[in-house]
Amino acid sequence: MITVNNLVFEYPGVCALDNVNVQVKTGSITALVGPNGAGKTTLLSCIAGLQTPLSGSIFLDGIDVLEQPRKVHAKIGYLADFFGLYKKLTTYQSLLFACRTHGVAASEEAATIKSTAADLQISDRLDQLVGSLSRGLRQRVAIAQTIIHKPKVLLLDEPASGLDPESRHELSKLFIRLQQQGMTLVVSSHILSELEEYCTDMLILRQGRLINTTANVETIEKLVNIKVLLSKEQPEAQHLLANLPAIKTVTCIEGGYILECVSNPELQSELLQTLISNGLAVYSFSVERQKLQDIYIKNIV
Amino acid sequence: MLRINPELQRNMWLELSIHRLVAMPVTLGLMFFIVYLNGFNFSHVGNVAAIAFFLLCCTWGVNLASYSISSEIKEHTWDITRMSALSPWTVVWGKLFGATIFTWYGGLICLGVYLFAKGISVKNIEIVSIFILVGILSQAAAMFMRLNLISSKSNNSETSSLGLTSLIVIISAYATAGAYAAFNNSDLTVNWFYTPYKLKIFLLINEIVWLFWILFGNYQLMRMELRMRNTPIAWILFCIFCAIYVTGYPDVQERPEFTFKVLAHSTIAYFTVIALNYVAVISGSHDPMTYHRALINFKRGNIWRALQDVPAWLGSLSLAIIICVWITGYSFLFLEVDQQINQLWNSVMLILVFLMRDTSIFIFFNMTAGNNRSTSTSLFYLFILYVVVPYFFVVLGLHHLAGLFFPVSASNSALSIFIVTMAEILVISYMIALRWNALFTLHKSTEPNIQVTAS
Repeated sequence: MITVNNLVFEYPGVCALDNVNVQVKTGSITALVGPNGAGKTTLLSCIAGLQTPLSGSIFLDGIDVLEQPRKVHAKIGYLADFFGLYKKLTTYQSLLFACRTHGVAASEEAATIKSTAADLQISDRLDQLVGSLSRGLRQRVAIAQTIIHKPKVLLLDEPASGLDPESRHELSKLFIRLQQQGMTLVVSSHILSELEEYCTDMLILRQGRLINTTANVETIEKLVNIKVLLSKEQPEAQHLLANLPAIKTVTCIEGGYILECVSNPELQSELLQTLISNGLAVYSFSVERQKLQDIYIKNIV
Repeated sequence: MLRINPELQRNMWLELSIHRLVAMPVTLGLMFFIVYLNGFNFSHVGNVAAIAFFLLCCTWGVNLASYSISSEIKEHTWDITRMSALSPWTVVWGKLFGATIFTWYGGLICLGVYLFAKGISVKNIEIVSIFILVGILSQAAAMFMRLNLISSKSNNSETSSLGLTSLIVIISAYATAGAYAAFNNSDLTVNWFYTPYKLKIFLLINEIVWLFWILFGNYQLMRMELRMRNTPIAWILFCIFCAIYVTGYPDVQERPEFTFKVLAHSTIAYFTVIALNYVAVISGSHDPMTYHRALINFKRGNIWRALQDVPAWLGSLSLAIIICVWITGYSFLFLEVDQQINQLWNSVMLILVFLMRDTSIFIFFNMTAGNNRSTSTSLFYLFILYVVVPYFFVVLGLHHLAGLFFPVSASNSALSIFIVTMAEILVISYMIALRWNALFTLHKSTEPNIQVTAS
């Protein structure tokens, strides 16, 4: 759905995006993560056709974003980090305005507003002025405006910031619903625990570059961390563990090791037997599923 | 089914509340009634209605038109429009008439009162038409100025906009008064390309033509805001139009021969293009990244993309060079080269090098990251170069040196001024190159870069 080729974006003296190549498949929810200043917002606004890169190309659903930005705008929804709303309009007027600016057919306007408002749970706020709504409700109105024309691609920059936990959970459910309807979502966020609820893929940016990561979240979830604690110090253990084919990485901790391997009960059982049969004084063997946070920290720190 | 422009619709929701719809005619009605009571003269009421129209549409409306986009940027709502499916033209006219709709509501009431008070006649309908044109023209001009400030990323846009809005109000007051006088005196004529035209007809056509250009300018700038690509072609066409337009006014009677008249008009066209080039240099964007992108695309052979980043001033500078070559070649081929022609050559050549030097000064002060005051700094240094330094040398009695910076002194040879100015250009270009290198020495990440296929 989205193809980014050799994208370079510079601010004077700073390379915000350095030869970035990305492909996002149709119907995925891709988490775009990275520290502040990594280039996430720049990448999103380039994909949205709001900024012109120094070089490279971006294609969205086969359309060249740099050559035909308006065609792309009709197909996508983009919610910026610092979004604004027309505070003196009612929620209904805001949604009607969004319908009309996105060319929703006049005959479908009322039904579209009704279903979108229901999706965002703002049906009871349609007559209220947007300026009088709480931060969380305004966020929902903004998202409703962004998705009202049922875009093929939805780009969201920190969509959950400022929301309470319940609203965040509702937002996660909404993203999954939108994905199920066939929408492709790219979500930039710092809240990794929430991304885990809905994202299918992950891209990690650091200093304008895509750094080495496993992009497919399903793959991430198939990896586990096994914490092995030994009752006595055995320096030969590390060499032994590192040479076991099932183990991807070995990290030393106080009193033992953390082993990264594929989540497979039989394999884990075999591993435990191997450790004991090799004379290691194992007194604790605990398995933890890897989280996005682990992958992110491992790549960033 | 005919659908109303969404921008216009949104502005109607915001601007036309029941309270406002009632308050405007009541206030105006009271005002006109009081004026009528003071002398029972309908003509006075008509005059006050004309002034009220001017205050509503050409002062308040101008301010609203100017503020229509900047307020959206301030409120972070501009991205809603930028990401919409609206065409640039839909946004332009929706905003132009939407943001000012309340002032037009009042303004049209005033014009109705004007017609009622002065009597419905062809003359008064013509006057009302020209008032409406002046109103739209001044509001469109205000919107254009603000859009230009936004697209040139001027950080002093509020201050600059206030100044420019005031300027538009003064010009529109002058235009309204002029139109009023012209339509009240149908015998007035104006000469254009040696042909007399009735002033009121000429004025009306002028207003329509300028309105076209201002709306076209708004359209071009809106295209840029909506991330559509422009080239300097529109600006070059405007320069050619202005050159022809201005050239039509002077009545060259110095020498009777046709060839000389062609040369004189070409020179006027040349100076018009030079003046427009200064406008483009002062008001345009000198964003180093845009220059960088244009250069990179040129180097890679992406000429069309490079042209889209080429600054407007480069278009008018190219046009000025072409006219300069034309003037030199034409006068050499068709006229006897006497002292007058020699002086013409010198001034044509010198003004070009001075323009290039001044442009390089603007570029130099823009070659820094986040320079907020590059335009005012450049103008300050131009003031130093054109006024302070020459005056300093004049005070010291060094008139030759003064002439090198501001070539009014006849005692300097054109060649010496040319050489000194070219030397200045070289020095500034070297300084630009230093800043350019400092600016584009990138701090890149040392991270390995990978291709991620999110699938």
